[in-house]
Amino acid sequence: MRDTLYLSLQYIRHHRVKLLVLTFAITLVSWLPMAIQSIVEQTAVQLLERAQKTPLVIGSPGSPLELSLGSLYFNSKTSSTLPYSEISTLEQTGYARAIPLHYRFRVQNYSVVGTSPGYFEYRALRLETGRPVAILGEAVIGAGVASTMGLSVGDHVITSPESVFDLAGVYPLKMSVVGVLAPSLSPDDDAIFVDIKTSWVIQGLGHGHQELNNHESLGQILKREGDNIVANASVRQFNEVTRENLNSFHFHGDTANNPISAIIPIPHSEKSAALLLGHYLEERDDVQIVRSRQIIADLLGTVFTVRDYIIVGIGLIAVATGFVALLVFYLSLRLRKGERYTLARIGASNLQIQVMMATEVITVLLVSALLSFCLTLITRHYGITLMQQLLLS
Amino acid sequence: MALELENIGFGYASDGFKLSLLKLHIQAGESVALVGPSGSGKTTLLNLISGILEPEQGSISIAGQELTSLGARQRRRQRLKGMGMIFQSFELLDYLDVRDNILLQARLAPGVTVTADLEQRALSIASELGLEDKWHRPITALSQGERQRVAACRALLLDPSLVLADEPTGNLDPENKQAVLDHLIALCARDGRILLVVTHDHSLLPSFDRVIEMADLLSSEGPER
Amino acid sequence: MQLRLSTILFTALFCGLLTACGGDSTPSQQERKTDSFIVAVNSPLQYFAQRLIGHEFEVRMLTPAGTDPAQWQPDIEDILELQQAELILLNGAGYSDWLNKVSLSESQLVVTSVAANDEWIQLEGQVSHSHGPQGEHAHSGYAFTTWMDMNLAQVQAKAVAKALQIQWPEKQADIEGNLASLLDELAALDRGYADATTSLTKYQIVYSHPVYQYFSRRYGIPGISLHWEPDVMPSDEQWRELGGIEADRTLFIWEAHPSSEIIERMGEMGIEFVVVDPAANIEIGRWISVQRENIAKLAAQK
Repeated sequence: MRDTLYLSLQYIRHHRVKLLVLTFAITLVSWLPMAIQSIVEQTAVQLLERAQKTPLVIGSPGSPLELSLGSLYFNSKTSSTLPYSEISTLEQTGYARAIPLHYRFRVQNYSVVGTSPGYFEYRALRLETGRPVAILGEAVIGAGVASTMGLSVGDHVITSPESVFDLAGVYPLKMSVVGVLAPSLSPDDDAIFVDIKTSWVIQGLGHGHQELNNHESLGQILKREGDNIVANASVRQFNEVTRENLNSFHFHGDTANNPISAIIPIPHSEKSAALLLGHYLEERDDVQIVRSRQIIADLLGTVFTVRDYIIVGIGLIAVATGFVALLVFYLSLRLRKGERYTLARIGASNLQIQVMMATEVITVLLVSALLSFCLTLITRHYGITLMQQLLLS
Repeated sequence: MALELENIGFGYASDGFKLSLLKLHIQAGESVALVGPSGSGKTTLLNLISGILEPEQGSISIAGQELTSLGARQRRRQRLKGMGMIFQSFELLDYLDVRDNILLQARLAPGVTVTADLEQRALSIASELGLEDKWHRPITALSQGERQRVAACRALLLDPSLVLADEPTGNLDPENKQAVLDHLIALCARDGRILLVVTHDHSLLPSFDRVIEMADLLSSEGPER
Repeated sequence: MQLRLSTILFTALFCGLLTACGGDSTPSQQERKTDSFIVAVNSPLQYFAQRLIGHEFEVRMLTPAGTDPAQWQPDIEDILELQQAELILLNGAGYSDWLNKVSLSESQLVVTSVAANDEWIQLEGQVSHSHGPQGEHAHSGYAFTTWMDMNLAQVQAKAVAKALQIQWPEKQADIEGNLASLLDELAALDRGYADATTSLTKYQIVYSHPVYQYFSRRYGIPGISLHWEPDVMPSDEQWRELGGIEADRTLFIWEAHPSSEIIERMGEMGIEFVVVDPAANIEIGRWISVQRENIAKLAAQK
């Protein structure tokens, strides 16, 4: 039998192009439905899990979906905000603690998430190296950011300008990486976390600059009006927070009015959660509170419907592919009639002839099945990330 | 190691053809040409000797081994290990190279392993037939004459006592047909094999030890349809 | 034998009484049942918090001894420690100017004087600046020694109590009881300061530093604020400035006891002095006694 299989292998080698094409086609139509099903299922589980862990989100009035996606995945196309004072307003209800989120800015493809230390405890994120953010201008990066950008503690990241011509507003801030998070298999892996006040500095609501009340700044002073020094626009503002210039950083006006993108409320109990929900739904029309699980479930419902249509389509293609494959095998067998005659005349047994004929079909089907299986495994591992990026974009 | 046929009777049910043979005796080392008009039963005779067909009556024996008493499976094994077959259309597999085509019969034969010795023997036979530099070439790259030599190598590899050839030079040009036949006859004579060749080409007949007319073998009834 | 026994009993009773008095002692590690801790930015808040919560929790002050908490800037280790605290008791009125530069959770922060922020004293003569297209944004500040007004100190004590009760609702009743006695104590100090300062109107008051604004306002003793250090001999110009103050009698109020040289010079100028310690950074066990010492010294100026 070993020699018979050897002869079969030679046939396969000789007709490898034909068989590869056939294998590819069968692999594709058998893998795709499984891949889609797997990706969608796992994505749904992950999305829902994230939403389950963040049952409530508060933001400015607008699209609940945008608010949910922004606060869960730091991916939002709107720039609507609410004032920071909402944090203390929420906490004063006595129903929940409040975690602020600010995710307007980016470092290349990664969101810069302004928040408070409570976020890390809430998400059970732990540090792989380094320490938490302590002061303005420091950042803790997710494991994915560290891996992709090749960053570690001691390195720096620079925020991306929002537009080329944004000369008078948001400007790049150089931030020092003080910590790297352990992988969490969540969107937190691909985020850069800073204190909420650092986000305001990036936005230009706070800054640090040279001291004006000394003789070195005389060139920048236009006039003195009593206790007020009026300086010109050439005053050098710092684009990096260091221990030396930290004390020069300050904010304009009352920081209670500064913007945040969303709030994650952490109710003290289930009863508090219900009371909180009722309070915001009935008494506040200037903010919105959403049940993120419901929003994500609705989004996934649409995805599942699309998935079903795609799978039906692929199923039809698979049937057609199956018929084509059958035809190819049939034609191949007919073409090999002379070969079967030769083998029989030489003295090959029926079994030997059948094995040689069948090996082609069996090999194609087996290899297709194996490839399909391997691809499905790979899809299970990497496909979710791809799908989430697709969904969120 | 003689080939003996006696009182063979065979008929095709599909077209009513009947063959009746009285006697045939070929000695070891003898090259015999079998001639006769088309439809006289030459190929049928070869198929009966090789065991592809089973006679309804009579006996066929090679070196004292009675083939007609064997079952189909045993006849097939006998054909694999004890006979070499050469065909007009070469009957080579185009997805195998020269080496693997020569070794084909050995790979199909039960109890035979393609060892280094066997491969060396195959190469040696191929060299005798001028194919040593074509060892790993695909069959499709060979000329007609070269392909028939490959078929001959395949037939001779397992040291058969009997080589049956059905119009082996039928598809060869005049230059090649004599050369191929001469090689085949020489190799069989040297190794004491029986060579039985069915041919229509009378120009080749002088090369054989003996020429048998099909009509001389048939019974007074002759072949019938 | 009997005498020795009674001596032992008396000593034990005396020690027991000392231990029971006022909670001035620092809770020991053996008594503390949890690793949770509270941070206070100055001694009065530390004292209030420890009085209210008892010995189960530690109330820390991170400012090193001898450093003015209002000038203290936390380093990274301090900030990481602050992040671990259950509560951070802030004074308010801009006392901790490092707040806007460090990363802390809003839920940790208790601005103890915010309920009385309409009583915060805005400072004059603060340099503000404006530049660029945003226009003016001033950095005017507030006086921040709010606890020196014992009325505001009570507001702060209540804010601390409320925060503790929210954090540890199971201790609500205990905190309520402790708050009542603390408020009584602060009210008594308020009366003490009021009585002790009634006769000071005959003096031109001079304050060594501008840290007595709330004290001055509450107890009706306005004064001129200088920038004199008790252990640094003032310059001739500074002495001239002091000498230029026209008054029949001048009372110089110091934060700490001045050097003998300064005392001698003041004596030559006929200027009296008294030490009123703001007690922003002292051992927790001494805060009440320092207040009583302040009152006694002021009363002695009659």
